[in-house]
Amino acid sequence: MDTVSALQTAVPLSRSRCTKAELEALHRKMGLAALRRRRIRSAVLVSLNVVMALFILFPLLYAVSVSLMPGSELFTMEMNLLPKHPDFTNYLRAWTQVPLVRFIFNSFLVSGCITLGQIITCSLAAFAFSFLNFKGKNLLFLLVMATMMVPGEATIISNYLTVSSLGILDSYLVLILPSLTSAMGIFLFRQFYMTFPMSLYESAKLDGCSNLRFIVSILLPLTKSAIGAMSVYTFINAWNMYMWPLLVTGSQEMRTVQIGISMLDNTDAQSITLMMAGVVSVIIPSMVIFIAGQKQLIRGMFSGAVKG
Amino acid sequence: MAEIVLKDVCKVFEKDQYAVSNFSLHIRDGEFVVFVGPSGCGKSTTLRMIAGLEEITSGELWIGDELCNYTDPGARDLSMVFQNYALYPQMTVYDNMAFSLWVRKVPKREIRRQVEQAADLLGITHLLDRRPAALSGGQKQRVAIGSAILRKPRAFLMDEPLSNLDAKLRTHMRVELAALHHKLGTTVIYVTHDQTEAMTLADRIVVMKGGYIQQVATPAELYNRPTNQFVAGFIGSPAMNFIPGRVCRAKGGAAFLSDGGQVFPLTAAQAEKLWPLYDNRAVVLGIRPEDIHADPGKAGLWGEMRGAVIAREALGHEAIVHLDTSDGEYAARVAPDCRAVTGQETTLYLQMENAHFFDGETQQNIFYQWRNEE
Repeated sequence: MDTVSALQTAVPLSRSRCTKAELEALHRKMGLAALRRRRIRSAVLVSLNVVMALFILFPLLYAVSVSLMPGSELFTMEMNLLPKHPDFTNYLRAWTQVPLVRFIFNSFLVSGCITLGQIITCSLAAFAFSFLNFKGKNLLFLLVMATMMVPGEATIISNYLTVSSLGILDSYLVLILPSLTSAMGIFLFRQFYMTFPMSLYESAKLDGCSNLRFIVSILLPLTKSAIGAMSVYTFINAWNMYMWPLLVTGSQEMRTVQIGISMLDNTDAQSITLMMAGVVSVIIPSMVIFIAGQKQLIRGMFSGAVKG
Repeated sequence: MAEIVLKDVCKVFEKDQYAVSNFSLHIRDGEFVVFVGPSGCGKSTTLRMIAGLEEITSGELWIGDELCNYTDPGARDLSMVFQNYALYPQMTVYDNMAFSLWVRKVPKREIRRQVEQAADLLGITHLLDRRPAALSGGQKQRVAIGSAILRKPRAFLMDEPLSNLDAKLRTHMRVELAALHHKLGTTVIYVTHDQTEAMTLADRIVVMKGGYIQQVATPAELYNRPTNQFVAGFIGSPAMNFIPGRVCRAKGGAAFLSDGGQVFPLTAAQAEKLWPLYDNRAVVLGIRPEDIHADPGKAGLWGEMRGAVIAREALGHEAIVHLDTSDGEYAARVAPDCRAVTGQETTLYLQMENAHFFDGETQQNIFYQWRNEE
C-alpha cells in the first residue's frame, strides 16, 4: 500500500523535476518489472497447456510408444510407458503382412470421391436454398436438417438392403454412393451463402448470367474458405468410416484402412504392437490433411457465425 | 433505348396484401423518372418488377413494343445500379465492368475498347486494375454505374444508388449523374426516398404511398400544385406547414379560422371557392416555410402568425425559424438578418396568395386535382 501511494505521488512530482538520467533509470526499472510479469504469466500458461496437451494426447503418444515396442515388452507386469529397446520391426511387419498400401489407396480414393461429391451436391443444394425462391423451400430445408437427427445406425440395415438389391456390394461404388451428400454440408454452405449480398446474384441475373455460370464464376471463387473447411471435415470423416465399409465389403481388395487395420489383430495371431504400428501409419494422412487445412477449417466453420 | 409502359401493374406478396396497386405509367424514351416515397411505399418493388427480379402479379409491362411480364431479367436488356454497388469482390474493376459483355460473348478486343471508353467517361481509368475492396464509396458507385452504361441498355434502373455515400459526395455524384444522363440520353428510372435527389434529377417525379401513385408531375408542378396533403408534405424541406381549422364568415367575405384561434384572411378567389362550400367543415391550410416572412411586403395579402421562437437555425444564406404558436410548431425560412431571437415572442407574416387548402377529411387539395391519365 505504501509503495503504491509513494509511486502515485512520486511519478507526477518527479515529472517536472527529475533529470533525464533519473527518468531513464525509472523507465528501465519499470520496464524490467513489466517484462518479468509478462514472462511469468506466459510461463505459467505454456506449462499449463503442455500438461493439458500431454493429458489429451496420451492415448496417441502411448500408441506410438507401443508400436515401437517388441511384443515381449508390452505383456509384462511392469508399467512400460516407453520402449526399452525401440525398433521398427512392427512397422515392417504391418506393411508386409497385410496389403496396407492397397488399403490406403482405397481409403484415399473413397474419401477423395466423397469429398468432391459432397462439395458439388452440397453447394448446389445450398445455392437453391439460399438464392432461389420456390414453394415449400423452408419445409424442404427443414426436412434436410431433420435427417441430421437420425443416427446412422438406424438406417444402416435399410441402406444395406438397398445396395445389396442393387447388386453393388463389395465395390468402390457402394463405399462412395451413400455418402455423396450430407445435410451438414448443405447447412454449412447455406449459412455461408446467406451472408452473401443478394444484389450480387440479381446483378448477375440482369447481366444475363445463368445460375450455373453464377455459381461457377462468382459464388465458388468467393466461398473458397467454406469449401476448404468442408473438404477437411468431409475427408477426415470419410477416412474414419468404419461400420459401413465393414458391412458392405468382403474382399481384401476393397477394404479401407480402418477395416484393414483390424485384420492385423485376429484370434490366431493377436499382436497389439503390430496393430498399433498399423494405426499410427494410417492416421498420418488424416493428420497431414488436418494440419494443412486447419486454418481453413476454423475460418470456414466460424464465418457466417460472426458478422464482419 | 425504349419507352417503358406500365398498365395497372399490381404486386401481391401475401394473400390480399398489395405492395403495389394499379400502377400505370408511361415513361417516355430518354426520360429521367424518379420514384419517390417513404419506405414501404412500393417504389423499389415496382423497380424490381420492371427489372424482372419480382414477378408481376397482374397488369402489363411493355418495354419498347414487347410485353415483358414473362421475359427473363437477362433478356430485358436493362441495367441496374444497386444501393450496395453489387461489385464482384474477387474481380478487378476491369473484370467487373467487362463481366456483362463477357457473359454476352462480346469479342475481347471490343470489350477492352468499350470498358476503356466507359472508364474514361467516368474518370476511373486509373482504377481498372484494383479490386473493389480498395475503392472508396464514391469510386465503387462510379464503377457500378460504369458497368451499367457499358452494355448500352434500353434503360437504366437505379435503386437508391447514392444513399450509401456521405452528404458531400452525394451532391457531387448527383450532378455527375445528371450530366451523364444528358450525355447518354438513355431512359432512367431512379428510386430514392430523398426528395432533394428527386427534385434535382427528375424530368418527372412519381410520388408513391402505400403502393399507390399519389401524383406524377414535373418537379416544379409537384412543388407548386401538390394534389394532396401527403405530396405537399413530402416534397420540400423543411416540409410544408399545415394549420388545421375551418372557414368562417368575415367582413367583406370569408376568412380561415385555425383551431388554435388564429384568423387568416383569404383572397377573393380562395374565399369564393371555400365559402360557403366548406362552411363548418374541416380544412387544412398549407403554407411553405418560404412563404412565411419576417416583414410583410407592400403588395399582396398577408396573414399574421404570432408565437414564441423556439429555435433559430442559421444556415448562412438564410435562417429557419421555428415558431411555437397556439396551433403548434411551424417553420419559416427567413432572411439571415431577421431579428427573431430564440425565446422571444415574434410575429411572422404568411403570404396568403401562396397558401394551399386541403379538405380536412379527404386530405385532397381543394383547388387542384391530379388525375392519372395513363
